Amino acid sequence: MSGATGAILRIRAALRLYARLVSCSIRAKMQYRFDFLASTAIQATMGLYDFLLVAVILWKFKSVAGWNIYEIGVLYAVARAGYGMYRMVCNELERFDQYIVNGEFDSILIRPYPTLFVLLSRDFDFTRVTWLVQGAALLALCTAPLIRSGTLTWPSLLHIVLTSVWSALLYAAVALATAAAAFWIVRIEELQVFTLNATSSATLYPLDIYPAWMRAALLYVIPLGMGNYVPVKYLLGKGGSAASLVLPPFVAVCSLLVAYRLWLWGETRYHSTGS
Amino acid sequence: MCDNLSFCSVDYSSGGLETVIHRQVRKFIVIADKGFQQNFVYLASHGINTVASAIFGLIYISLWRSVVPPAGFSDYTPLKITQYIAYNQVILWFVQFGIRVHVRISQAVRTGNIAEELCRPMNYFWYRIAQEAGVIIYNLLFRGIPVGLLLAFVSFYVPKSPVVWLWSVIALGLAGYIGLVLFYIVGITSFWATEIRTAYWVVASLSLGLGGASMPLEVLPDAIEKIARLSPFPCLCYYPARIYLELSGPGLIWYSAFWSLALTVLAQFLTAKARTKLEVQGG
Repeated sequence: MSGATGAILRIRAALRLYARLVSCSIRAKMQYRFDFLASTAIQATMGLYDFLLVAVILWKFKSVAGWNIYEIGVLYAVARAGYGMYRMVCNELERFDQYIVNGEFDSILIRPYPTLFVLLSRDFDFTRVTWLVQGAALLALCTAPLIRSGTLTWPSLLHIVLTSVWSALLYAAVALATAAAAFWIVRIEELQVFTLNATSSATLYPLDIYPAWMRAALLYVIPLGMGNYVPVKYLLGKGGSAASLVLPPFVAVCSLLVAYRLWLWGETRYHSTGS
Repeated sequence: MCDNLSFCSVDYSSGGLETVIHRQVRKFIVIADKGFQQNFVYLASHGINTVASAIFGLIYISLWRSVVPPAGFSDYTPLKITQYIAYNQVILWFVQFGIRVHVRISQAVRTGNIAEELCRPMNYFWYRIAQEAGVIIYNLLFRGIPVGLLLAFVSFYVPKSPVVWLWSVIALGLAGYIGLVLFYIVGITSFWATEIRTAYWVVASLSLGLGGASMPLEVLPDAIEKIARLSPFPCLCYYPARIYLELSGPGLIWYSAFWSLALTVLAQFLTAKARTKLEVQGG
């Protein structure tokens, strides 16, 4: 058996295992049906708050930095769908510090698979599908008038869908780097508010509204703006070049690799809490 | 059997009414102080959160600055709306975000500790409010004010008149109290419901949406603005901010006083009902 074939077989085995573990995770959650449905409903309504805020503002003032409600809707939809995908797959990163505090990371270390793989397979948060649906619905609502007015074309729709995937990868990279910080500082809840919550809220609006330093931070330091703002701005004809479509996947993959290196480095610093 | 149900459960044998009230107020202060002290453990991590809160403030300020015309709208110039958002960002940890009373009640019901808590020689409602009051005072001092100092780099209004300060402190005090009671009511529903997350999100969403934290009520569509003004939610952020920024006089405090009283009566009523409902599994 060649090396390549062996690698393919290992990946297939890992994917089968992942599918099985995810299925177990969903079935476990469905044991508490009311809780599951309530969580789903809450996710659906709470996720809309930021958009309602901007919708009310636009209802009164018509445009934000030259972006109308449909254009902001597209920006919002891409970010929201990306965030939904990230939370669905990587939800366990959000509470990773609990593994360090309670010493549960020991049990992950002894599994015959990479720690990150084991960790992510522990909780597939299906309730976040509501954000994906929310993003898709908003995208459908907002792109229709933009296509009619000629601002968007049908091929650019495909780019927009892909953009939400780059967004998801960027969220995952930022979350992974933040989770890795737990190997050094243990508690990361407050850090997440800074690196994930604040930045993801900021990128729901056009970055043009922010001071230059904040715009630069959202594009190059915690590059969530690269996931939605840069490509959407170009697709809506508001500036940029073809590089605006190439850069996001490149930055997303590089960020993920850097975050994973940080995770592996952090792993070597881990010491159990003991029992 | 625990029968000390009233906040002023008068025991005349050991002194007059005044002494009893003094003792109860002392209890309130001691419990509030404990709630305050507990939070000091997390001072460093709260520092990071402060920066995040300031960034949230900056997001909303930037958003408003990009839409408000130079001539302003209603009572708000671009500078005034900046100060409105900055002030609300400071008090949000006092009136809403830092409040965990609903979680504490719900956990106590789930673990059965509620039986012990109800037996304490203090009215349960005031016990919980006292404990949480310490927490939100800590939040205001160590989370809210630092946010204000950071946002002062953009703009932060400071009234010059001591009278405005007085009215602002009263309005803010009532806002914090109303926030506590609203979430206490959410928590007390755990005596009937197995989970309170839905109730929490309803109240939290209404507080954010109709409370005026990220937008003045004048921006809302007319019908929603009218509904908001009939609810207790503007007492949380909108009224205190208007008084602090000298956009309104102290008359708004009457609304806050009314809602404080009405919500207290409701909370006490629900607490009394909850006592008769409580079932704790023995073991």
